[in-house]
Amino acid sequence: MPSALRSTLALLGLAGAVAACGFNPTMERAVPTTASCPVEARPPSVSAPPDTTRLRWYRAAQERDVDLSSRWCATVGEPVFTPDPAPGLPRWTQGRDLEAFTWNVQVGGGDVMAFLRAETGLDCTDRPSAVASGPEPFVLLVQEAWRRSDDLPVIEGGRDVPWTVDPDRGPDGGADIVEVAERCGLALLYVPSARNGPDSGDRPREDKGNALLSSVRLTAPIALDLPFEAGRKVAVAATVTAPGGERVRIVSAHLDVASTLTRTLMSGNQTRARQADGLIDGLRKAEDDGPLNAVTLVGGDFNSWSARETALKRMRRAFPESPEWDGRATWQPLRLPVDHFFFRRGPFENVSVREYSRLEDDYGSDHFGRRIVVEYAPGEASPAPY
Amino acid sequence: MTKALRGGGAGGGAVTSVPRWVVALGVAVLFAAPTPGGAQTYEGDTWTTVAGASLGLFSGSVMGVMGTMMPCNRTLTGDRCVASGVGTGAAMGMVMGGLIGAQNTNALDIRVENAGIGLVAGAVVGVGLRRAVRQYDWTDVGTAALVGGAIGAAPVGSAIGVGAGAVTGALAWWLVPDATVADMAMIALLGLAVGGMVDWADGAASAKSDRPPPTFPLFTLRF
Repeated sequence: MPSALRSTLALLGLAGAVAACGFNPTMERAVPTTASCPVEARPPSVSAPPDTTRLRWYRAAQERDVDLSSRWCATVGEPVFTPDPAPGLPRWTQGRDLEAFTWNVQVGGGDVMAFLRAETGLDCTDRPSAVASGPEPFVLLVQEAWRRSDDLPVIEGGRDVPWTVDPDRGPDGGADIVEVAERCGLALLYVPSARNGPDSGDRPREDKGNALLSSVRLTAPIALDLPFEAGRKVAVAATVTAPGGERVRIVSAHLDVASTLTRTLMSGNQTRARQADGLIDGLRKAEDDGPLNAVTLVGGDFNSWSARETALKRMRRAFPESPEWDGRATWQPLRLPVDHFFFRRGPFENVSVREYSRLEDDYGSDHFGRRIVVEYAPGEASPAPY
Repeated sequence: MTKALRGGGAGGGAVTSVPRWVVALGVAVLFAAPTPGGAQTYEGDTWTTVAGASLGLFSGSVMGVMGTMMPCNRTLTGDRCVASGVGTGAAMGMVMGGLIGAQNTNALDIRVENAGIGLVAGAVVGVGLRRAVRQYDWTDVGTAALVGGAIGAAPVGSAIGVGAGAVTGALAWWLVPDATVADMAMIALLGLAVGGMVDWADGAASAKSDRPPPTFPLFTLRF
């Protein structure tokens, strides 16, 4: 055997070991230099802003992550933030619980307005009567939300653009996330992560990402550009205020289903664990920057192949009051438990999870949604809100 | 030999006749017996020992990743768990490969050739994956080739292991209510890794004998 082959084998093994040690999920605060893409790191000496409606960015610290994410970011449109819902929609007041849903809508495969009508009682075609029926206040955490817009840059292809997801959206082409929010009068935070396919000229330009739709006011919007694996994933977070003034941060997240073959082997299949670490770290940094949100509810599509995955275990450790998995799958093609909620109440004993379940209808998506009820008990002692 | 027996009575005495089947049996036994001194035939040197250890290190590392990445992804430690699996596989592979290289250069040559075939097969699979998965690039084709090479270096054990694992995993998927396709994949990959490492261990254990290393007909091809 040639000595060159021997040396190559040994060097490859060494290089693999060194590269595997270089993976790092650390997040850092970022400041966008363009309209939306976080390119520059925020200097640590700059003081944190107060509660604001300006979108704050956090991103993975590794240079590779920043480079790839910035390239993907350049293909999408601006984030959308509408903090106030229409008057008359249910607010989180004394004696009421907050309902939260997480649902991957499969880029329009799922009918969001049918979902809202059936699960929350909000009929967006007849909002006054729906509001009069007195539904509970709610937040819907959306993954694979989509938006069509002629304002998106023209992108003809390349590795920074994923393939088109083109589900059946019905005869009218479906309502994108912005249209849903407008028609239903809901507050909206939408941050696109990626394009929905290249421009082929035969269909409108679209991007996709995570979103929050809410019947209660949203503040302190945050975008967390997670460690980059196979595609760009941006988690979104915003704060709602409990009846006693406690800030409750709501987070909608979507992790990668798989990384590239090289990264899968080099990281030991830690794709989602790394992204979950990044999400936890980013939320911790957001807390450090203030304003504090001791109560946090995280929901989303974690793309977990098993309910015992490392990513989920680490999420449960960081969010110790998370409800137990109920043993039910949410992704239909392979019956995998991919969608989950995690909860941390911090020092607020009066905020707790009362119900947790999987929904029985998929409303056209390939995912079933999940529902959680956050209960507020004003009678119990709790620390003063921040 | 037959002639000598028959000629035993050359002096005109009674001819001793040995049945032909006895002769045939004797010849068969003679050829089936181990060749004395065969262990020295392919004895290696320092360089073949290093070469075997390098190949074993590489193959064992890949087996370690393949076998532990899914089970470890169900533990809180995750990456550290995989790292220990890789370390174990690498150490075992290095020792086994070194033993094979030191004792049987022929066995090592065949493993290297099989690794080469695996490399090419892996590259072909990688090109297919690159066409099927948008985010895969040429680095992933190279990775697939390297994985193929690592498996090819221990082909029989890997094949038996992955086959047994896939069957077991499929049964588990079918019979256990909570089991998913991920469990099947996990057991199949675990079988691949265990089978591959058993192949290396078996190769090291039999390196001194004249027994040729176990191979599939495909993998006995030589360049």
